[in-house]
Amino acid sequence: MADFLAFLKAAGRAVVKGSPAYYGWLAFLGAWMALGGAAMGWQLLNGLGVTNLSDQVPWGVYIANFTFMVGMAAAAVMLVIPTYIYHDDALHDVSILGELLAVSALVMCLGFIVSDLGRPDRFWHLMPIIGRFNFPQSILAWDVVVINGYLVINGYIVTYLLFTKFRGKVPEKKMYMPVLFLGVFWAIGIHTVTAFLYSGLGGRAFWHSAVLPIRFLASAFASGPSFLIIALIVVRDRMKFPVTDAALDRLRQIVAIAMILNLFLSASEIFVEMYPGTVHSASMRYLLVGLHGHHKLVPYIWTGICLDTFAAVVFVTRPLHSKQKTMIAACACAVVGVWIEKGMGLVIPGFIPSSLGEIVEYSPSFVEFSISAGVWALGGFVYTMLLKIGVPIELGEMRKPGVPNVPIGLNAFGGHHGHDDHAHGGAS
Amino acid sequence: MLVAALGAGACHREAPHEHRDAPHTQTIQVVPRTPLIATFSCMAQCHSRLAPNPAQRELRTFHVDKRLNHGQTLTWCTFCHQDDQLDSLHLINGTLVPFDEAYRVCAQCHEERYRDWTRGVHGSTTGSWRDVGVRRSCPTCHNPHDPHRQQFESLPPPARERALGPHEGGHGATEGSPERAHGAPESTHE
Amino acid sequence: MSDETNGPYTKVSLAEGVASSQTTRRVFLKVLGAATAATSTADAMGWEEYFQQHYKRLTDDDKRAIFARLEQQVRDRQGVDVHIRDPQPLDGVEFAYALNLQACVGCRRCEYACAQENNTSRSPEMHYIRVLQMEKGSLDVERSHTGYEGQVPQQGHYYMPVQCHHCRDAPCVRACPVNATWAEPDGIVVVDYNWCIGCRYCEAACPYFARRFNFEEPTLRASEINPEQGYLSNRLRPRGVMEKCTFCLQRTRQGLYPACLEACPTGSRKFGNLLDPNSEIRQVIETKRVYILHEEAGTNPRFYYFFG
Repeated sequence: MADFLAFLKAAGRAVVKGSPAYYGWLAFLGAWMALGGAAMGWQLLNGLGVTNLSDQVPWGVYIANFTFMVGMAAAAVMLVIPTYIYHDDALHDVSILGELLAVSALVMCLGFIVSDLGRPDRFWHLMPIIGRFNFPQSILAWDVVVINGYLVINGYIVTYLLFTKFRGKVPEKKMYMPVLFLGVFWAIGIHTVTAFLYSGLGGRAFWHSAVLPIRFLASAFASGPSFLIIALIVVRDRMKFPVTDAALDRLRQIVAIAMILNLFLSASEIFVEMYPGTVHSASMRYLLVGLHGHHKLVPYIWTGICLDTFAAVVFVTRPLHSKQKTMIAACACAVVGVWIEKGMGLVIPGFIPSSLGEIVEYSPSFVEFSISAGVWALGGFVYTMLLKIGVPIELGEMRKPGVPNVPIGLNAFGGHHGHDDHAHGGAS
Repeated sequence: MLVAALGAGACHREAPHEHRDAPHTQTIQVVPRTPLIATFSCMAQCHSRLAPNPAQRELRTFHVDKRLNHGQTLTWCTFCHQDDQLDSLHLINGTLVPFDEAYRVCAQCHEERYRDWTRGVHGSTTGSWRDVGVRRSCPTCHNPHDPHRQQFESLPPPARERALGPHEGGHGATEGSPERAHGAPESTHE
Repeated sequence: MSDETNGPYTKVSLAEGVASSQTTRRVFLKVLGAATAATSTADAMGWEEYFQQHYKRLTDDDKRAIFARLEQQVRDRQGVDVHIRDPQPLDGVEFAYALNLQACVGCRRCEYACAQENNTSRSPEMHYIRVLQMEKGSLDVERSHTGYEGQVPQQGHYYMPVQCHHCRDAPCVRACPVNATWAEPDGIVVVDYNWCIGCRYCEAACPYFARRFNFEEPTLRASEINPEQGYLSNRLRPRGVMEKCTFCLQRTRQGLYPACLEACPTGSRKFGNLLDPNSEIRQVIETKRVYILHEEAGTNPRFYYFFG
């Protein structure tokens, strides 16, 4: 496939070109990735003993980040649903950026899972035929299926659209629309399955709640599009990608509703646990107010709740969110707040107290911190690369040799909503 | 005694596809007590020459280590020991009972416990769950003269565990060398 | 506590040979091998071990070769002759356990006997059994303590040892994504240490805190190794995999009682064949009132607490 080779070559050229700021950004990510890589090597040599995990708290920051990242991946569909289900065009032109985010987030999910395995060398046991897959009994087996499936779906959509436009052709609807719709359901699926991973454990009262899946979706649709708002502003300012204010405002509406719903659902959970005060509320008490003198997570979770609340207030108050700086701050708060409450704020209390009532607290070790930061940097790197390839193709700047440099519809999904302003300008 | 169908001799080996018997029932052997009693036989060692004094009194010369603290009715040696045949115990109706069957004496009052014991529900049975189970007679664990529950020194919580749990702070680690509290040898009888 | 008895714990490597001086290199090779997949040469761990199939797919010949290899590894590294067997479940036998809450004094002899029999790591220390010091007047494990010391039983307390309940509807078995843990026909829930990927989902799923993970290299002195080993039970475990109580299947499938029961000075522990109406375990269930821990979790355990 000569065209595909040309595509890869052009992509290679695109990612190495850039301003000093771009190289600085790559160096920054590279430093964290190097730290993470070194920490990962150390963990592989010495085993999970280098973590602060224990039999009482067997999951920690890796699985917490994994859970959060599944939400980020699922949130990509919030750019697709309004466009294709409600025929609302505001987000039409930017939906490709969501797909790219999904791919990056999934890479991070896989990174966190591999970091968490005691025997990553035995990953082949999960493969069909040569391995032995406990499907459909194990929800974790389901998760493996849906997450890899989602990666395939999004990888296909992104590659198909970009590659087609690279060749100067208009993407054919029948080639991607069915997959796109499948992706919408699949996105809901990955986060629901990930929630079932927790709520399906009858022995862990803290997670054993039917609200969990919908809470997961709400928080995902608050954090993912919040991140995208920041990403869109960066892409608009730095790469001259045309992002309309209408698109940003539509996303703001989505995160506002999702965050309010998330706070409401969390509050419902807190009420149901705390008001009757059954023995099963011990984990919630540990999280919110501490238990028997142990309260490592209390300041942590209240920080998360405050950040979420602040974000929600900004999202619904016009004088606040009309200023771009405040809006960016609120979006960052939403991402961090959700990361706290559905990351470690969800995973750790499930194990405290242990099923025999023991209290063993947890906070990540330096190695865990480094590996997590490294996987984050890896995700940032992947997203940066994908933007460096995807944006010029969308803008019509990157084409197969011999194909005129004109944008095709200027939206990923090849429709007819192209912009007139042919924004030109090299990627910064 | 202890009714138990005889285990059918040779038992299952490892071969997975070999024909195996229907469930069969354990045979029970009770550990004899007399080899554990240093002063046994009482007759041979002392009492063939020295007749016991049946009068209830404070013991000053012999058996001073025995403190009788066993309920309201059991106030003197002869309640259980046969004073003219001190190698035997006796039931309330006068039937002589060898020391190795002391549980029959206990059973007179502690009937329910005794029934639990015959079923294997009370007391310790070791050895084999399938072939020969070794059971201990009541006095192996319960001092018949002073049957109050004794205390045990507990072995320490695991000190080098990854997470110490609520018992934070070091405990001296002791190698686990579990010893039996009742020093019954695993010899069998009956 | 004098260190004379404890001594420095050397990393005597277990089963898959990861530890000691040369093993750092070996692990490195392994990591490299896994990363580059096809290029790595057969390192000390060996391809046949790396590509060893799931227990249920092994033929008798495979098993013979594997047991011989594992025995050789222990001989090479620790200088101990061990015998690895694979006793099979007995027909017409379903094991169950009962524990007398009224009799247990909480002395922890079962814990240490278990560690000794099952070759669990001494540093970090791993015990399959947890003895809870319960408050009189409550059956709530959250009010229990596990760190008590000294003379027992202590005033105002009773004791509840907890270990694997070998559930009929085991959440751990359902959770495992690769079928590395399953219930045998005689009810014993086992782990294939060579198949487990170390995700610890089973540990999260277990309501009894019964499963243990080898975060670190298990260590135990050569003199501490129990040489009579079962492949699915007390053989030496590698790092990074799950392990747990197996009702001492290397003993119980030969007709013996589990080590914890043998060690109990109070006769609180009862074990036997649930399908035999005359067994002690059936007698307990029929004549005593039993309590099932976390019965609301729907796990249907083969482990009963009783009063009497």
